[in-house]
Amino acid sequence: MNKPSAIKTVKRIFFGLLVLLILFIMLFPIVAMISVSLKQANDVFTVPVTWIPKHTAWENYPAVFGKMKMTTGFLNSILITAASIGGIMLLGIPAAFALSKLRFVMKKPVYYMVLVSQMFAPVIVIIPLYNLMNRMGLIDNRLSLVIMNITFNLAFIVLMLKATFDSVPKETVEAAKIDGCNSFMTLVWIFVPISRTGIAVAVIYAFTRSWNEFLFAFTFMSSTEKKTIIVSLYEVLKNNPAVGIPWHLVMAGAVCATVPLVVLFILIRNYITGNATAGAVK
Amino acid sequence: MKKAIALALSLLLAVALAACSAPSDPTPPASPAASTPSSGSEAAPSGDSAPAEGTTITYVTLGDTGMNQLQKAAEEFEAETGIKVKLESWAYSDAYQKIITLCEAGTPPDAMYGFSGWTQQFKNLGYTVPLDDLISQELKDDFSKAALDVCTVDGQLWVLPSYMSIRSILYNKNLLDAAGITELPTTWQEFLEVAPKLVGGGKYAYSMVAGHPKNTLDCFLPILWAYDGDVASADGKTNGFNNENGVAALQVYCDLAKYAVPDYGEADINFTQNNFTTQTAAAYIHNAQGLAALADAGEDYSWAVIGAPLKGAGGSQYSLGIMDVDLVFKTGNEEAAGKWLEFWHTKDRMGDVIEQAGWVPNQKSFFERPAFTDPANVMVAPFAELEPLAKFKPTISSWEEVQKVMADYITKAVMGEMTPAEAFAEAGPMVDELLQK
Amino acid sequence: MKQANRRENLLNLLYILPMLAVFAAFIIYPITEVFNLSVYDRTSTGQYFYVGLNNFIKFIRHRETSRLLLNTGIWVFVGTFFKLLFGLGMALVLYQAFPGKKVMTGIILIPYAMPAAVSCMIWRLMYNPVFGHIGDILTRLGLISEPLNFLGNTKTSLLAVMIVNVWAVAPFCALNILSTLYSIPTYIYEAAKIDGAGSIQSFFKITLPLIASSMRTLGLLVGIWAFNSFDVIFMMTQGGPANSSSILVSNIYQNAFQFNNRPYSAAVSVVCFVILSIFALLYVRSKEGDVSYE
Repeated sequence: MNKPSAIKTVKRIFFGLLVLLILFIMLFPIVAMISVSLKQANDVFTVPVTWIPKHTAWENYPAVFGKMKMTTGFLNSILITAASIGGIMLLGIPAAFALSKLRFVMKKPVYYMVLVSQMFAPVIVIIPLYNLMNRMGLIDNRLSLVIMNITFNLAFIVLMLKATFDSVPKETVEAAKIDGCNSFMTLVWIFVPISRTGIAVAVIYAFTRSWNEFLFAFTFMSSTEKKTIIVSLYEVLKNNPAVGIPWHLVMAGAVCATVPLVVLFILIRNYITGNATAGAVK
Repeated sequence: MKKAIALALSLLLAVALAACSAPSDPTPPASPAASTPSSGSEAAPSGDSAPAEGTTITYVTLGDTGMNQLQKAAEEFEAETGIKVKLESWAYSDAYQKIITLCEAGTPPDAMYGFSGWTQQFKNLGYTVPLDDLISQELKDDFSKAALDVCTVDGQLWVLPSYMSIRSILYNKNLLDAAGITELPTTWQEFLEVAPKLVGGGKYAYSMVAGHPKNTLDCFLPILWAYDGDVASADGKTNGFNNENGVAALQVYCDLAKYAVPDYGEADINFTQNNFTTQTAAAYIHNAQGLAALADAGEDYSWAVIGAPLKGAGGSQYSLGIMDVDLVFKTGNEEAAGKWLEFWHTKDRMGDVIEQAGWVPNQKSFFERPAFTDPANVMVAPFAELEPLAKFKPTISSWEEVQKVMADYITKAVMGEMTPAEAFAEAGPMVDELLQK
Repeated sequence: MKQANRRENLLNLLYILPMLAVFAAFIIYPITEVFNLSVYDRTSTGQYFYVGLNNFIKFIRHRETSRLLLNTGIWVFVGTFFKLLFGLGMALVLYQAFPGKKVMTGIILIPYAMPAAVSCMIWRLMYNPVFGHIGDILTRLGLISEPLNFLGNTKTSLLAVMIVNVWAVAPFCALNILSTLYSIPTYIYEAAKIDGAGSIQSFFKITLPLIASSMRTLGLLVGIWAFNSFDVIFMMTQGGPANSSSILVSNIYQNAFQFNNRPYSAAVSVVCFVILSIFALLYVRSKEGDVSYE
């Protein structure tokens, strides 16, 4: 074996170890989550930790929906997320289109405002927002969460969509104009169909961010039947003073709340590496 | 065609604006200066409004405690009076934040299960109403004196005593036996002397909290009292712990931490409970809840023994009394809420929850339930015996903040960031300021 | 013609107006309200009264303020540094061709896709000193003999929460850096190779300079997100023990909802707003010239 190839082998092994290390760090918590979600209550607290459950407790998963009553949480999350996505797209697509392809007064200030508005954390304005929602009679009303999701995700999504629309050649607009289309028709009949992948990716982002939203869902909602899955899960952790924390059920619930997101993200992984998020970053 | 677009867009705009138009409505002015002292006051009680049939009231409970009994009671109550009770359940640890938020917004529930520490503050802020006229004299007479004392402010009953628990030290006999400890310690000093024997092989002598504000004080106050310290001095104007006694108590707490399950920094009461029921910790301070949970799960808990509260250096001995209360808020439905609470506070309804959860009854009529007088019932009898030793948390207007400051400095001492004396020397003046506010 | 243009300019505004209305109602108006509230205080019976800048003076004088600022600084700068560093590392690995690359891309996406609440729960369990997985691994490897309480120690709590945050955000950085890497034409590397540059040399001489500007923008964005990230800290430690993991935004929430100290909380919000504005300015400048004019 000559020297260069020896170096190559060492390099290759080193690279392989690096890949394994990254995978280990990324997967470690996920494996732990799945492992705990399949344990029986007592098995969680054994020392040293049993990584492979002694008895695979599949019954934890049905228990999430039965005993822990997570079904309403799921339904609420689905409802709120769907409405939020609808609102974000309804407001976001025209705005992104205008920012990308149309001329209008005050375009630059508007663009900067979109850029800047994604920077201010909802926590900073939580008190006035609470009062505002209260005056609108929307406290403990799912609509308030929809409005908040729209408000605080709109900028990010508009920037994403703008990047998508930017990649459509400007000539398309002119050609459409010659064919007698006005700008609105161009948007509806040409841009939306052409950019459907980009829009789909934006929808998934909007989905994730609405689904994961915690602050408002936690602060604005008080009725048990209106809580989102994220808040329901969080509260199980704190709501069991008599029996200690049912970690195995919490983890089973956590797996259920995560699976839809992971599946969606893996579906769009190629677009994340592309220019999907470029609008916000580049 | 242009018109069509304009129409479509303006429709969209209208929808968006409709959603935003409400804030500019001529509702109360936005300036906080202009708002009334308590947002709830516009719904001041109108004395003559008898609770009509078809009224709906909201009652909030914490955790899942007694949910089944509550649901059943609510149905019976509706059948009897026509008043519907909507039940909500909040997490214990977020309860204060939620109720304060709702009260600020002027949309509190009609009645709620909460903590006695809130009484003074909620009264001052005008959120709650006095209950003397809302409940019958019979119910009032039924409460134990200790319970009434805790709930009375300025001669008026501002909250209704609900669940009372007496906390003492619980031991795991198996672990004590294994360490060769045959006699239970009687003072904190004695406990500290035997504690090292109880540590090893994944087992610990004690389980406690140093971090979580409320639960830190739950664990620390019995020690502070045993050492003749207190949160506030007798006149309530200055702190009662920045002195030799308080520092000695904190020193005990710091020493305990050395032998305690090392999760105290992130623990809340759930964790300590868990440490005891999984037989990781040999001792902790609590009520019978953990045992009741084990009993519920059909597990053996014969290894658990309830000890007398440990004494301090001066021989003082206190058990920690936790008085949970029912509050009635200014919503206009006070009468209906009072009726509901009267209906709920009976031996067959609330009494059943107390029996199940392992709490101590604080209404005389509850003792008609055989379980409460059965000497074999370890859930109640040993704790009920400790009632004369019970001391309750003080009623202070800025209690939540006082609690936070004390807990922070107790934690800093336990973590070794400062000595007990330094910690209380800093916390003392901060608490003084809060007490005088 | 000119008039038609102007008309179009105004008409096109209709596309933007709904979005602007939402921003005006739910971001701009609340911000003005926060400024307003910050100059008031309340009596114990709940009456508001004007106090000028008193709340800000209280903030400056408050015993915990220096700790809060320091924590925020560490949380933002150290956190962002490691997010970018690990992100860059992962991106460089993924830039290579190797078997299983697609699977790996999928896997590193999971932490990013996971709800924050869920990742916080797992990590809380894993950090548990008694039955947690991290302590278990470290004990098995013989690295520690006594259980360590990562979250419940005033010295390590901020670090412990930061690790979770880095774990969740680094993949996002990786994918963004990766897309920048792909945008560098390969012939540049080939040319460098012919000139005799080694891979390390070409990384520092070519790759790094070329991705620097997009890394800077990414860093700003990730830093701003970190500054604003309240949920991770709230769900893992509630800022404790003894405020050791509190940052400015968690302090806002604590004062507003846990102590009912709203005017003071509003003052802290104003401070945050000012700090964020500086970052926002930097961010906008780093994206200057991005508007496409026709």
